[in-house]
Amino acid sequence: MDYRIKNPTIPDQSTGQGVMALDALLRAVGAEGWGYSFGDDTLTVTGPLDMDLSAFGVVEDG
Amino acid sequence: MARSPNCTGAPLFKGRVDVTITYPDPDETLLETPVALPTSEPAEAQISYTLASGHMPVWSPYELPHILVANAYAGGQNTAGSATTLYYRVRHNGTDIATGSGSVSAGNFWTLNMYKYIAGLALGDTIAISLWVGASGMTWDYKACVVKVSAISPDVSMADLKIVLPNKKRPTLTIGNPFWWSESRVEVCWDGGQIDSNTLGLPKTFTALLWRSGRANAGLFSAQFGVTNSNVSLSQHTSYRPYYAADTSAPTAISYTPLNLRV
Repeated sequence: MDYRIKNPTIPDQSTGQGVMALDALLRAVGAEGWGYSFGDDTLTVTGPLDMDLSAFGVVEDG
Repeated sequence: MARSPNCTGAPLFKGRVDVTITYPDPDETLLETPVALPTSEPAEAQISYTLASGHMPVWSPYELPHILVANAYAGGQNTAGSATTLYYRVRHNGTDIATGSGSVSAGNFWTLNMYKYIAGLALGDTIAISLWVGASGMTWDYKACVVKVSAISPDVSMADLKIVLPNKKRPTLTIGNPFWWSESRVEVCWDGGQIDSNTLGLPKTFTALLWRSGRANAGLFSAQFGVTNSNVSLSQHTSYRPYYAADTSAPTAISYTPLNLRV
């Protein structure tokens, strides 16, 4: 299942360390994969039903 | 007698528009020897494409207003004995457009699919993909790039519209296999809605006596990737590499007679 969060609260994605830090945070809540769009400032997370992503912002749909 | 404000005084019809669009084969490379991915972000992207005319759709005898989307792919394999995280960063002209990661199961082939909408994408632009991993044992050996039409948007009323829609996945890469949803919809649009390819049934020459193109962004035609579905995604498969995102092809010919109508 895919979740979308606009304007997420996440580590700086301009460095590899930031990418790996966000990955660790998302995997801790059960994410299987994710992607972040700079232009849209949108985080898309793939994972099981009922994931708690509230720490990252408001889930738009999913 | 008062003149209708919709009457411009100009002839009702303009000269007929009749264009064809051809699409290049993807620019593909399969390395003879897979290259190991580093465990931290590399200073230089492993994959970089500068968009050349050979990547671009070709319009004849002239272009209609349209939006382009670049599809870029990277592929490889997790040769480690356990699941490993693959990280990616995608840049357009040196500016970050996407980051992300996914876990690749032991032994699986992976594919990074880039079909993100980039405003103003043009000849000479660069698309670069950096790849790194959480633990050693992952390699890359495949890359591909092609530029497609995401939307066609002449802002006119038209008569005797014909749109030739083939039934072909784009891109069709020479190795690997597309996703199960690869034949996802494309849409013929008008200023009030759209008809998707499942309803149309492809291949088809769509015809209409009168039509109005003008819906924001989509206009007359909208493909799945680009404006409609803008993303970067990671896929994996036990044997397919690439296991890639593709959509149904864009029109190969469009003809209509523009009308001098204000709406």
